[in-house]
Amino acid sequence: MKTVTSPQLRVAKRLTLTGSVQGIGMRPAIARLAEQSRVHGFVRNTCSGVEVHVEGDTESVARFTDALRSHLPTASELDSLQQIAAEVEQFDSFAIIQPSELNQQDSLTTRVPADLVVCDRCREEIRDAANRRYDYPFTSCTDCGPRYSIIQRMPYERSQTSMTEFALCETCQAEYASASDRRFHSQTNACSKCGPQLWACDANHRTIAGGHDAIELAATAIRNGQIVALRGLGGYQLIVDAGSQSAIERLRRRKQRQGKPLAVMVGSLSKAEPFATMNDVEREQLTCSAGPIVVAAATANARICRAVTQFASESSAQSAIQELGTIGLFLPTTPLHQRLLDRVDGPLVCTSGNLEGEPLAFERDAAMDDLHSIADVWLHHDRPITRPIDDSVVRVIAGRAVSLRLARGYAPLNLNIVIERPTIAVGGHQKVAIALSNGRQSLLGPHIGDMNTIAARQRFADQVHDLTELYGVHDFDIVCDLHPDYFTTQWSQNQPNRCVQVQHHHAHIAAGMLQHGWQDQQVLGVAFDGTGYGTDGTIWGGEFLRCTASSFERVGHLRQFGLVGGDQAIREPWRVATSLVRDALGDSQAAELSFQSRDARTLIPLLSRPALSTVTTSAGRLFDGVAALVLQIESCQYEGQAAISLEAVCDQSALGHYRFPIIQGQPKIVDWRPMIRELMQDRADGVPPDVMAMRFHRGLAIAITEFCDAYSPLSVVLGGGVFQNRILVELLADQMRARPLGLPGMIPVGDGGLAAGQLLIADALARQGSSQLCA
Amino acid sequence: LAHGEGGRMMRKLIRETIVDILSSESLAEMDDAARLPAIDGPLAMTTDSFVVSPLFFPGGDIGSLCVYGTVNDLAVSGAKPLYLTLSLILEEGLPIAVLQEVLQSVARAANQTGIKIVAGDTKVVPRGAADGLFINTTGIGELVDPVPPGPQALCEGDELIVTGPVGRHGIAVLCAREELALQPAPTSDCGSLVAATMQLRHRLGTRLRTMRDATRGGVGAVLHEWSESSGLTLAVNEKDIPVSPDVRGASELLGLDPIHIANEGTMLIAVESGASEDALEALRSLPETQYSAKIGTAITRQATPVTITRMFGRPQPLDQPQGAPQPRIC
Ligand SMILES: [Fe+3]
Ligand SMILES: [Mg+2]
Ligand SMILES: [Zn+2]
Ligand SMILES: [Zn+2]
Repeated sequence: MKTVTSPQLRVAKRLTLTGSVQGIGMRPAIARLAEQSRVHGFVRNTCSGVEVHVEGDTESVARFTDALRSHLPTASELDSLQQIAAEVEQFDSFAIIQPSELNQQDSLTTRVPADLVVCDRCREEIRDAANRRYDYPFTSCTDCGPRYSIIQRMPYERSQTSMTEFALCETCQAEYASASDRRFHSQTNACSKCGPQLWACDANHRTIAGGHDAIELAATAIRNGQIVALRGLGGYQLIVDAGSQSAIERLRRRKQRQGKPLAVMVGSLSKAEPFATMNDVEREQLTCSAGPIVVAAATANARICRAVTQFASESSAQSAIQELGTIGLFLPTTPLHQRLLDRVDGPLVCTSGNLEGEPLAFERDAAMDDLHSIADVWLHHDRPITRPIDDSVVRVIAGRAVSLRLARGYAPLNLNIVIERPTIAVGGHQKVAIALSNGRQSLLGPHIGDMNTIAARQRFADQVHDLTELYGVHDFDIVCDLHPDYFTTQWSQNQPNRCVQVQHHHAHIAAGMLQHGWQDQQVLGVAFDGTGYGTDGTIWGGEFLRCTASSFERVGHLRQFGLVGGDQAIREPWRVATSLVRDALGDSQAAELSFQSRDARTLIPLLSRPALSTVTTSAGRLFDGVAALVLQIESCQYEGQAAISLEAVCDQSALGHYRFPIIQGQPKIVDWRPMIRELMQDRADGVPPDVMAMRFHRGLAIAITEFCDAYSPLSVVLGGGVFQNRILVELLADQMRARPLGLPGMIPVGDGGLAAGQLLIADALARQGSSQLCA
Repeated sequence: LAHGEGGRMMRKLIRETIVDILSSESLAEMDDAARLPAIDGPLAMTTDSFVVSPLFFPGGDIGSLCVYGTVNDLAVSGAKPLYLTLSLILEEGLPIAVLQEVLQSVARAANQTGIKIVAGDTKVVPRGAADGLFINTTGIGELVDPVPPGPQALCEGDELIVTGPVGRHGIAVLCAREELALQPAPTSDCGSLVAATMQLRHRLGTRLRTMRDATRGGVGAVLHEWSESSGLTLAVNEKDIPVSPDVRGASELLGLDPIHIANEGTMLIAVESGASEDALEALRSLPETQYSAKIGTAITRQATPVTITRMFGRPQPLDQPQGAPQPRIC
């Protein structure tokens, strides 16, 4: 049948798409649809998002606009799609064109795309000996590859990334230009002829292999038990054979990383299954394009990586090995990881390439300096990393993905709130990440680290500079914590900008309010963490705050106790245990506590002197003290170890719970002394540790629920690092299922999410026209 | 002691106790002001109030403290201590024996440092208005050339020396106040720096940049002040900083870092690059500074004003606590 096209009126439309619309193949998808719909015009990235001009006959333009939403890449997240009528400009084709403004002046409206792990189709190509990208470690496409870590400026365009150094060869250019190719307008397109190169070095900086040979050589080194430092997507990683106990021990020794668990990379989901019992959410996380480390329940099989999941509890009399019961697994991030795993054919320990306590190394020279006494073999590449980014760590709690470390693939995390005043929030002292608003969008940046080293402080300052440039944040206010000794507080106060201080636990709860979109509500916040500076100058950490975004009232807290020795008490839970027992049962009972190398009696006279103690209500310390009593943990090798061990040991089928009565008053006091008394009785009766640990968790959950019940119908928000504890959170989710409960999510519930909460509070205060600290 | 009974009782007290014990001619004259001979050249003057609980602690008492504190301030600024005034504020009820013991200690310390007590004052205040005994001293000294130029003159490469184990005074007083029966009991370093400063100036001349007795805030506070006034970063090594076993044991138990704890007879000095060997030799010839050690150097200004290298690690920031140190670990 012959179709007669009647000459129709030519119309034009201008469409603007905002949200997560760049770096995910949006323009190629739109160009293809335009082709199909027979419309002409252009598409381009802008600082606001993606701009489309289409013109053609009414019918074609309508066909295009109707089909647009359903033809967008699955990874896109649309905030808005505006369309307005436009002037017909008589285009005779449809093209992807350069952004009109490469030098962004204003605040950035569009989102900066996150890095994406290698996709299935690219995976096939690098494994196919006949493919021209066989073994090419920097293979990528519109669905995968580096983004955030190589972007220099927005909008997203090859010339604005570190790929600009690599001119496309003819073949790559042809792929780039062809609408039918899956690399049509792939900004990171490259091949071994024109793209970044890989090479291997020995410890003396001598180049020993390139290309395929470099991968082969590194694989052999790993099989031989050596330590490989690999320059990955966001920085260096240290890699050893997860099956080799001796290799892992060497890594731990050289890195001075004693008990802390190490992440394990496996080749595929099916290769992960034997090591962890996973639910669907965990599988989804493991295989998603962000590619985080997923902390899941370890199976007995994970014992082949024993050294990965276990830690030596040096304090226990028998020096028994206790297992954490979890394993951190992830899948290959880049083609290089994939090909290395294909060759080694076994799980790899893959940990951040940094000195313990320092930020991730990402530049070649600095990395070779930092890690020279750790790595045996190096895999370098010459694609500049614009900004370093660690691997993300996720745990699934109560069916939700909870980020323990927000980084590659997830950061910068869009915060669903518009804050008019440009603001930078600097977080706390540990696990620092910054949050910012440029007046158009708000986001939480990636994990930087603890502020105890010169390098970490430098990295912090660099990141503030970098993100303010990238997002166009000018004349900003700063919001920081109340603690006078945090590096970030002092840094903030030394800047010329207007600075607001907010209380630590209020910020934790505000982060949870943002997570759930409850920023306009009054909520009951349960802020349980290690330590935070209170408005009364004491150290808080077991708080019930009735709060709004701008103010809070401390309606309850855990009973106070004394910590002797400041930070020392945090590294040595036996001190906390002694303090708790002394308060609950008196000096003589406390004096009977015995630890492997510490004598509780040395501490008791100190505990009776208020001048020598820090007063705290910390829930994290309560966990430490209970862990010391239940598991004989005397000192910690890494932060949170005692609490993590206590959770790991729980026998969830055990019955009973310890009592934490709530003493009425203003504020109410949650009294843990009966819990300690019951626990000490259990200990004397020889009740096993797994039962005692469970009774403690259940008792605490019951007390929190009971406390919250009195504030019904307020929504309850959980905040603070204690709620990284899966058992506790799942007990609470179960007990409070009848009311709105804000569980942890992708904004880290620990200090990594503080900055998000600080941002919200600063905004709420600014709206009130108040720079006052809330009390 | 009772207060409020007027001049007769007070004069008697002063005459019998204070003048007697201090055996000072100017005090005995009971004039309104001390008359001092003319001095040809610039003077140094300093004042300090001493409040310590308990009044007596291992290694010293408020009496020796109030002399050494002011004398040391004169000595480290490059002055030869000459005259001292002594103001006592006594809480009603303070046993006269305690006062006598303190004054004897004042006399001994003054004698030892060669400073003359030339004027004094005594007030008795009601119970609760003071804690036993407060003392203010003011000292005058004669600046002797060459006067060390001070911390602004620090240069890159200058070497930092501490003249003895750190943190002894603060820990000794804390343990005494809190009645902690630690073994061995920490002892204060309360003592004179006059001989040590003279030796150093004699031996080093203009190679000596600056000296400071590391009192409140300890060596850490001095490092921060010097960094600020010099615009340089000061880098120290933890393993080189002398700490006595008693202080180490107590501070571990209490979770304190001796570098931030007060000293009363220990100073930090900065010398020109290459001069530390001579300085150490001079210092080690005196018993009170025999454990002197070079602990670090001044380097180009970095983002971090004071760094410390602990164990095998890299230099780390040495932060100065804003108040009582509070845990930062969350
Ligand atoms: Fe916290
Ligand atoms: Mg003084
Ligand atoms: Zn791909
Ligand atoms: Zn190419």
